[in-house]
Amino acid sequence: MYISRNKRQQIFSSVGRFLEPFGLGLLCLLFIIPALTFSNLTPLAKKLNDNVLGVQDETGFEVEMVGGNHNVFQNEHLIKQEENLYKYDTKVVSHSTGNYSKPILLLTNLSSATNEITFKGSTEIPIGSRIGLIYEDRFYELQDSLGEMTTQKISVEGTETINVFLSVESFGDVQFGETFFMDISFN
Amino acid sequence: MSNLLKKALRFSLVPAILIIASKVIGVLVLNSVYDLDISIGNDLGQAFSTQIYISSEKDALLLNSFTDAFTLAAISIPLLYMIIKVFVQKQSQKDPRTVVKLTKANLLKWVTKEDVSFLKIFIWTAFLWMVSALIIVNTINGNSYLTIGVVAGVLVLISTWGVLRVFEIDSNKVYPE
Repeated sequence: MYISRNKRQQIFSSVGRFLEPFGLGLLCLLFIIPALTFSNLTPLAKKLNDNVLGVQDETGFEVEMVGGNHNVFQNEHLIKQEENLYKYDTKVVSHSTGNYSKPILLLTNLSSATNEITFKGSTEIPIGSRIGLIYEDRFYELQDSLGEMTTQKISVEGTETINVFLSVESFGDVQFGETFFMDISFN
Repeated sequence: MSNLLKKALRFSLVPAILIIASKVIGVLVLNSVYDLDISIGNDLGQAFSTQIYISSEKDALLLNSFTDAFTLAAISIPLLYMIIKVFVQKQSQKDPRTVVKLTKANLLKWVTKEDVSFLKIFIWTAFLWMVSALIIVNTINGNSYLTIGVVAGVLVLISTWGVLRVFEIDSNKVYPE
């Protein structure tokens, strides 16, 4: 069958017009595919699961009190209130101006994933001191000098054990002792 | 299909492949150099059902930062080369001393071979914008070093200025001053 040159050009032109939207789609894909690949190849930090099939990963935290004697923090107690709630208290005795700290808790993340643990604490009557926790050289304020409370969260990597310090920063001499109560909770 | 679209498709292939290749090679090289604890896993909670996982956050930051830097370099170095080449070509037309300097440096091919067009530079710049945006998002999310995010931002500004200048040079060829 003979097809004239004009006819052939017409066929090519209409095929070209038909392919135009596909070409635009392909161009878009050439931008989208590398972007998605780039994002997908960005590794996420996650504790790799070493469990054998059928063995369940543990959840929650193990909370242990360090104990021991201290000049300012005395008479410590740690009570497991619920499965994921612990109550800690200690007597902050009278002391002079300055910063005092003591290791109070050992927290072990039982799961293989990173989890957060929440702390909320205060004294019944403000003693004019900043009270908080120290972890990895960072101060997490729980109660300011006016008695305002702040809830603090600490992130603990999977299966890691951390040591948390209780710290009191007094700007003047504290003449009377006061009990500090703290709730420790996690999911 | 129009010639413009055909050219755009042809010019887009190289940077698209380069982005994927540099990221993949970056992950493989760093994994073998630092012996990282990497695994591929499935997690329905993430944006992608299959994802690369790494055991520690520190390693993830290191790996992301270096692979981001590799990809940024893979796209920005050829782009900057093309922009500089266009500027040198333009300069050589104005100033014969540039031709002499290029001859001495054995770089005369730069001005005799016109293989860089505005479209090519624009497409490479678009890829650089895309990669830089992803790197900046990574930096904001704390998955990459701040320096790399800043460098990506600076490169975006430089390449945008460069592509505008190239457009000016190209349009001057059609409508001379």
